[in-house]
This record gives sequence, C-alpha cells and structure tokens, in this order.
Amino acid sequence: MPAARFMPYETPDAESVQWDAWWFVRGGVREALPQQLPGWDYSSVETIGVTVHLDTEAIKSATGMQSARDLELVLIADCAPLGRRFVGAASIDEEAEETVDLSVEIPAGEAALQLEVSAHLVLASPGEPGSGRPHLAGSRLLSSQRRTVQLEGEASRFPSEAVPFSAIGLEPAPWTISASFADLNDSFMGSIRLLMNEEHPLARAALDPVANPEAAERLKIDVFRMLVAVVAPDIPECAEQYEEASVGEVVTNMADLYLRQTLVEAASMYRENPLRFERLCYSAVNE
Amino acid sequence: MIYSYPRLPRSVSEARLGEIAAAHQGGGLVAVSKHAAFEHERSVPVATGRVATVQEIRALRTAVCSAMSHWIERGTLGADAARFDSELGVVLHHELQIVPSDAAHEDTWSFLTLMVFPDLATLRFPGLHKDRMVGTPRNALRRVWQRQEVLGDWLQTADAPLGEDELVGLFERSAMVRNRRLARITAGIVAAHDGANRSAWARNFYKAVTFQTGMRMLDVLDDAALTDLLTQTAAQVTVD
Amino acid sequence: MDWYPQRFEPGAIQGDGAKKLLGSPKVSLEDMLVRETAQNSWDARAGDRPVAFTMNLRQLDAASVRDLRENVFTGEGPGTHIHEALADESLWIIEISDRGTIGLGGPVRNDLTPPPGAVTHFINLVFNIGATKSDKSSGGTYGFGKSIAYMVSEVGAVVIWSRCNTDSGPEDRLIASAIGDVFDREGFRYTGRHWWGRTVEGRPEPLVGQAAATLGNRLFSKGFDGDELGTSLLILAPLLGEPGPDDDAEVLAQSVLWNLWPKLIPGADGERAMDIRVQVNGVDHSIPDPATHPALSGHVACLRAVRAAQAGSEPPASLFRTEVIELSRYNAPIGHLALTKYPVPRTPVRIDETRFPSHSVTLMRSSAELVVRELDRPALADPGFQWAGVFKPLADHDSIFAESEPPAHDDWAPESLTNKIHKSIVKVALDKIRQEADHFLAPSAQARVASGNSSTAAVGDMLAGFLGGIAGSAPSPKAKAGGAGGARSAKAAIAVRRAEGGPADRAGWTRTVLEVSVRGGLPSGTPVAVRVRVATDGGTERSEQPDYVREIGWVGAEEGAEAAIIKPETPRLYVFESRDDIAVDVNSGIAAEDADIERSGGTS
Repeated sequence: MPAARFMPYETPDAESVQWDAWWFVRGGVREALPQQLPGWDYSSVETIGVTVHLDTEAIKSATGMQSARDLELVLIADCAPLGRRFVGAASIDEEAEETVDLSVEIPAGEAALQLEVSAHLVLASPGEPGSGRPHLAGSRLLSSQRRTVQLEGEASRFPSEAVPFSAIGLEPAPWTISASFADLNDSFMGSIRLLMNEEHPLARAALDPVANPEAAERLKIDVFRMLVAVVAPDIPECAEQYEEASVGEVVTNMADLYLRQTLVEAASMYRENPLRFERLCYSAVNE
Repeated sequence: MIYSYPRLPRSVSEARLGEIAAAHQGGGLVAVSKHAAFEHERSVPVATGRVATVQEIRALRTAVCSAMSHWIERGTLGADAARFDSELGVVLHHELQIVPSDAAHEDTWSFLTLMVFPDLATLRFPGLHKDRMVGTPRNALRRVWQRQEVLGDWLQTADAPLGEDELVGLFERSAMVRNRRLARITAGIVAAHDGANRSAWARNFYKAVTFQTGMRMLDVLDDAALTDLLTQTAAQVTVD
Repeated sequence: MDWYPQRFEPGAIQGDGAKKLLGSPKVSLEDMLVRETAQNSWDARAGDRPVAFTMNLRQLDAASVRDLRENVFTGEGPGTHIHEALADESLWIIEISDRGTIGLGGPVRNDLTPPPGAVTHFINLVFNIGATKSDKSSGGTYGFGKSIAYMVSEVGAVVIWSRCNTDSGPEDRLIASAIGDVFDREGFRYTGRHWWGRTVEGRPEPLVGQAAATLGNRLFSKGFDGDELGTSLLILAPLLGEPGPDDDAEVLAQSVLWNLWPKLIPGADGERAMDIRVQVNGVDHSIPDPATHPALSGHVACLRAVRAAQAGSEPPASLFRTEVIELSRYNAPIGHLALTKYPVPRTPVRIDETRFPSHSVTLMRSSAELVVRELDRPALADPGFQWAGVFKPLADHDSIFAESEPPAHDDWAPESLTNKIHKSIVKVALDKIRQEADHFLAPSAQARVASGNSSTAAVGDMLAGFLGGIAGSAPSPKAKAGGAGGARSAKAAIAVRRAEGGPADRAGWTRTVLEVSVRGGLPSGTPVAVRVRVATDGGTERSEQPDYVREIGWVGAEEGAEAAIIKPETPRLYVFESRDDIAVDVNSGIAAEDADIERSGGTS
C-alpha cells in the first residue's frame, strides 16, 4: 500500500518548495549527484547538497507564521548500515522568494555502503500552540523525496593505500606494491596492495588521476611492471589454471589483455629481455 | 580509528563456523581458543585504505584476551552475560581502532569473530548460532561494539546500567540510534529511571520517543531542548 | 702409500671444478670450514652421546713431515704444491676430529653398486664429491662439505683417518687426497684429483686395519680410545689469512662462536649436544660463551624460547622479554620465531660491527640447530638497545627447508624448489620472518600512526582495468527489487487528501477527515481499505497503537466495515483521531478479497 503522511497541523502546499538539484563536490566543483558516488572510500570527506527554492510568502500564509526566520531547512544523510546520520541545516531569510544551498559534510570513515539523503523544511523555534498550526520546534512542514546514493558495492577497484613511506621504513619512492601471498592461488584483493607515498610529489599528483594524467600514466606502467615482477619468481614453467580472483588469475588476464601473452611468456620476457618488456609494457598500457 | 580488517565472505564464514563447532564439541572452549588465527587466504579487505597487519591483529587478540582473561578462565558466564558484554564492548572498542565504515560490513565481523576471537564469541553464545558467529547485526562482537560506539561511557557510568532487554529494545529502534544524541539521552533517562519493571517501562518509553520522530525532526533540537522533551515524554510513560 | 692420479673420463669433475662445487657461498673460508666440518660430524653422530668435535691447529715435528713426505704423499703429484710444502719441516696443519660419531663406513670401492640399505659414508666423502645425501634431515644435505678442506689447504691436500664399524668389527681406514690443477702426463690428461692409498686392480683404496691404525697414530695427535669410532681430518698447510697460528685459532674460535653457537647451548637436560674445542698444539683456545656474549646473548635467549615452544614446555626465564610467534601458512604451523630486545652492554672486546649491536634473526634448522644464516633487518632506533631473533622450522618441515639450501647450506632459497607447496612454505616463512621482525622493531606508537590521510579510491578505480572484473568495493548498481507484489484490479489509482482537521473531543487529540478518491477502476466502484498508523522518522509503526491513533471509519458505512466501495469521481470520507504530537501514515489500497467490505455503496 502506498502511504501518505499527515501531520496533525496544516502544512504548506508542496509546490511552495522546490527541491531542485542534488549535487556533490569534486575537486572544488559541484557535480550532479549520481546514483553511485565515484571515487569514494573511507578516507573521503564528502559534501552533498541540494539547492532549494522557496516561496516564503506561500509558506507563511499556509502556516500562519510571522517570519520566515522561524523556519529552517535541514538536510539529513542517513546511513542505515552504519546506524549513523549526518545533519546539515540552513536558515531562511525574509525574502519573498529564495534560493538556498543546503549541504552536509560526511566525515571520513563514518559512512558505509549507501546513504539516503533527504531535505526538510521544519519549524526552527517553538511558536504559540493552538489553531491547528505547527508550533513545536522541529515540526516537519515539507520534505523532499528520499534519494539513495551508493557509496560502496562490488565493482572492481585496485587495492591501494596512501601512507607516508618514512613512517613504515620504505625508501622514498613514489609508490610500490606490497605483496604477501603464499601461493598464486591466494586472493588478489587480499594479498596485493599498491602503496602510494603521501610524502612524494609524484604520488600526490597521481592520487588525482583526472587532474594529473601524466603522473597517472606513469603509475599505471609501474604497477603493471611491478605486478609481473612480484609474481615472476613463482611462475611455473608451464601455464596453469588459477583460482578465481586469485593473484595468478589477475596477472594472467592482465598479461593476456595487455601483452597478448601467457603469464609464463610475460614473466620470462621480464626476466630475460627486460628492455623489450619495458617497451611493450609502455605501449600496451598506454594504448 | 585507523584500521580496516580483513573480511571473511559468507561462504568461507559458514565453513569456518563448522570447524569451530567441531572443535567446540571435541574439546570445549580450550579447543576453540586454539583455533584462533590472524589471517585467512580467502579473506579480502576493503580495496583501499589501511588494513591491519597480521602482527597488529595478533597484538589485538593478545590485548583483548588479556583484558578478558578472567572471563575466559571462568569458562562460563552464568548470570553475568550482561556484564561480560559491557566489558567486551569497552575493550573491543578501545583495541580494535576500527574505522566505523568498516564496522558496517558483515564480513568484517565474521573475520573478527570466526578467526580472531572464536573463543570469546563461543563463551558468550555456546550454542554457536549462525547469527551470533557470522557478522550479522546480532553478532556476538558486533552488537557490543555498536553499543559502545553509540552510547559510549553511558554504558558504564550509570548506577544501574541498561540491561540486555533494554539495550536490545533501544537498538531495535534503528531510527533512534542513528541520532546518536537522542540515543544517549534516552539511554541516560532509562538508566536513571527508578521504577518497577524498568525494562517494560523502557520499551514503552522508546516507543513514545520514536513516535515523536514522525512529526518532529528531533535533530534540530539542542541538548537542553532534547533532554526536556525526553524527560517530559518519560514522565507520561507507564508500564502496561 | 700408492699415488693414484685420476685420468679424464666422461663425466669426471675437473679438480678445480670440484673446488667450485660449493657455489658462491656468502660466508668466509674459515666460516665455511667450521660450518661444513661440524655439519658432517653432527650428521655422523652415533646416538645419544655428545659429539666431540675438535679443531687442533698444530705444528708437525720433522719426523711427521718426513713420514708424510716419504710414506703418504708419494709420487710426483703434479699440479699440486705438496712437495714444496713438505719440504718445510715445521709444517702447520689443522687436525679436525670427531668422536661419538660413526666414522666413515660402507664400501671402500666406488665402482660397485653399494648393497641395498648400506651406508656410503666413506666413498661419499672420499670419492663422490657432489653426491646427495639420502637423509634429508641431516645438515650436510649435499655432501659438498669435504671440498672446503681442500680449499683451506694451501696445497689442496688432506689425510683422512676414520674408524668405523664393518661386518667384521671396527676397522681403521686411512687415505690421503688432493685436488690440484689439470695436468698431462705420458700422453694422458689428468683431472687434478689425486689419492694416496693402496692401488687395487687399478683403483685407489684406503689403507685398512692395523696398517692404517699404525700410520694414523703416527700422523694424528688424537687417536681412538677403546671402542671409540669417528673420523679425523688432517689439512696440510692451512691458509686462514692470519699472521700466526694463535691468530688462526682465534679466527676459528670466533667462527665456532658465530656459526655453531646453538651447539654450545645446553639443552633442557643440561647437556651440550656437541663438545667443541679449538686448540693450538693440543692446548685449548677459549671459545667465548654465547649466553653471556654482548651480541649473541639475545639470540641464545631466543633459541631457548623456541626450543621450549617446540618441546611444548614452559618458556624459560630470561632477563628480557622474549616473544615467541608461531608462523603458519594457511593456518598450518611452519615453525617458531622468537624475538627479543636487550641492552647493548659495554664491552672491551672488539666485535664485528656488522653483527654488534645485533639486528638479525638467526635462521637454523630444527634438529641440526646449525646456523644457516642471519637475516638482517634494521637496527633498533633506541640507542643502547639491540634486538635478536631465532627461527626454527618444525621438525617435520626440516627437510623442506634443507631442500632449499644451496650446497654451502648458507641460505634458504625457495625459488630453487620445484615442489610448489614446499616453495610456498619456505617463501611464506621468510616473508613472515621479515614482517614479524619489522613489526617487532617498529615502536608501537609509530606503527599506530603509520596510516595515510589521502583517499586512493580514484587511483584504485583508474587501475581497476588491470583486475579483469574481480569484485572490489567501488559502488555498483544495486539489483532493483522486483515489482510491487499484490493483485491490482482494473488499474484503479487511489488518492488520499486531508479534507478537514480540528481538535477531537479528547484533549490533546486531533480529528482528521480524509477524502479518498479513485481514478479509473470499475464503474461500479472499487473496494478501498485504509489503514492509519503512527509515522516515525523514516518508517511506519507496523502495529496498531490505540493510545495514539483511533480509526473511526468510513463516513456512511456501517460500523466496522474495513473497506468502502468508491466509484470514480465520487470520493468518500474516512475519519480518524490521533494524538496531536504525532504524525500518521495513511496506507490505502484495494481491499483484499476476504476483507469486511461495506454492504451498500454508502453516501458521499
């Protein structure tokens, strides 16, 4: 059954507020809020907002309010999987028509899986009771539709981590691969991790691949080479079937896709003809 | 809060639970303790960010088990399950240093429960029910961590801390719990309530508070206004 | 004795090739001498008796030199410099002896297949350089150990005297051997390998029995007491690089200390597994006690801790905390690693600065407890403190680690293994030892903050193409839930709006009249049911709550009717009362077939 919500008091006409456009911020620029938030992880600080147009006169006359300052716009970002919600608020001026940007900041590491965002017009301060008008602080007058934004899912993402190399005793390279697998059949996602040196300018640049495509390209070639290097000592002399999503399977597919070679061939070229490997690697990855 | 932990997929968790159950049947809690481990070849952590190393996970177990050793030595909880939960919540919350985002994932808790602390979970729920051992919201570790995360020191400092029923009732009201201030003040009022059959009273109180949230957005009230509202609400609540 | 130089034949190893068989060891000559000879002696242990292992640097008297020259190293010996050495009547030698061992038993002929199950110690040591030992748990897996003795000798010459059991009782055996350069003689090419013994049917064999015992007793300072068995090795003109014999003895003592220290540590029974001595002309040269050594004391504490862990006994008391970690692969144990931190003591003794302050894990095999190598990691940052570690595989994994050793037994090299699981075990052990040591060394505070602040999600997504589609944690479209269930008849759309509201009779309650209308549906009307429930933040309370909501019902229908028939364009009214501090959710829908539907069409 579809539900309609009724307050025990008069509420303004739904058309007196337009919840226009939902947005989020990337690289200092607002972009339309998609169903799946790109490039989000537990280190991201995210700002999500909505632009709201209000007909304050219509609201005042419907609710019998004296001043639009008694109203408040509230943005709720609800993260049910984590049992946590984030609240952003904006006050309203006395203008007859107003456009308000309402936003909320989601701190790093405090959200998971998905957010449900909604915006609300509420009574900010208590008024006089009686006559079927809202008077309790927080009384809801109008609400937007709820929107669901996926933060996490199961789409591929290369395992990686930013860390100051000096703190973990690594030489000051821009990046490296950390590998700990007992066998090439071990899970790739569980045993390989790209470490990005936060102290290195090249790594910092590559962390924003869109803004710094050259750094990103260099990283890509290095990662390709490092992956082959890391498995090369364990490659048997003849091709093998590896378990799904294992180190062996991923690197096998990578060699096939980019070099059109079996892993055995790629590893042997890496060992025996490193310069040719380097050239092929460069052209394949940057195709 | 800096660590994410490896995650154990459901299929692996179920197999692992079978091993733990067999160990428990064969050699009790001691045998389950011997099954504790710090890694699994099919565990997969979140793709990005800092993941606890094997060494850190081992140190975690050492720290938690040493803080909980008096319970482990007892081997059974008897009537003290609530006290165990409360202590475990504090210790876990302090030692895990888990990124809350990571704590929202079932598979994270499956790893922590079935690999790292199978004995603590078995001690609490010797029936080894899947819901308690796999990382669902009712998981032995997840629920106590979550209570500590939401209520913080409220759980410990109150003179008459919330009992199991009172906590379960509160956390079932997920909309209330998402508003952390609301949850804490509510818990504080319950803890301070001095009346007969407090848990039945608390159930009605939670209901009364939740019912206000449909009309009013309690998030916009400041602490004083929220406390006033909840105190007034509590004053009207009776036991059925 | 008869001289027997080896002619070239297919497959024969050239003399200097035999010298090279040790590969490219990572350790010095004296270390290798100590390691390999001790290893061979340990492998030859007779049983529970401690092995007595003595390295005696001594100067021969003129009679003994003459004896060697006239009765042992006979013939020309081209390609060696034996005769030059024996011209010096104050020749120095090293006599290395083991007792409490089984001696060099088995056949003395190399050209016949040994009887099944027979030992082949003699022919392996004397003739078969490069033979593989069948007992993998022994330290000297490849039996290359003997070539080191030739390398230490300036003239590449040794004399071997052994007493072993044979079918006819204990037997003395004595043979001399040398490795020199390839040479040509009388139209034949020779490998540079020489033996001196008895030539039998054109083959070299050792002197045996009383003849061997008599000559041995003349040449060697240590004989065999009673029923004692064992082996003695006499290395001519040893070259250890030091200016004098006392210095050489010190080199050997230091080498024993660093390479054999586990053998100097008594076991749980208080016994040493090996009684090791370094002597100069038969007088003991002191070997420092590793347990009190400025650098090694930490390693000793670790060894004791690992021994206890592997024996399942209580950890031994130690002055500084020692941590024992069971290393495993796929949660199956591989071995034990112990780590400790301890102060750097002031010491007047000069210790190699690559070893002191200590900053390594000693790798050793489980039963032999001979040092394979030191795995270095960074030194502690805290001034005044050093750290040490010991790793030993479990006894049943010993052979796997042995297999991965190069001929000099100075490393574990997983890449040399062909068995995938074995390769993985050794690799995992080495990886984990490094990881554990690094974790142990990192101050805990530093380890806790070693995490970055930047998101790598964008990088992870950019590189996702490498992954061939395997699951990660980037957001993905969620499967849409199936269409709403329930039967819909004739596409009726129900609309509900507030018609009027005001205070109810009960104080604090509101009475609300809803207008319910239907678009579409049957012209005769659609049965519509309405349910009013308490609204909560983000949801609806499922159960009825009479203390909050009272449903009065349809206007114009008999009391208790759940559903009203609503015709298109003819709205009906529904009344409820609710407390005025709550919101309600009104659910409306086409009534279920078994609902209590009003009997008449009602009035609007």
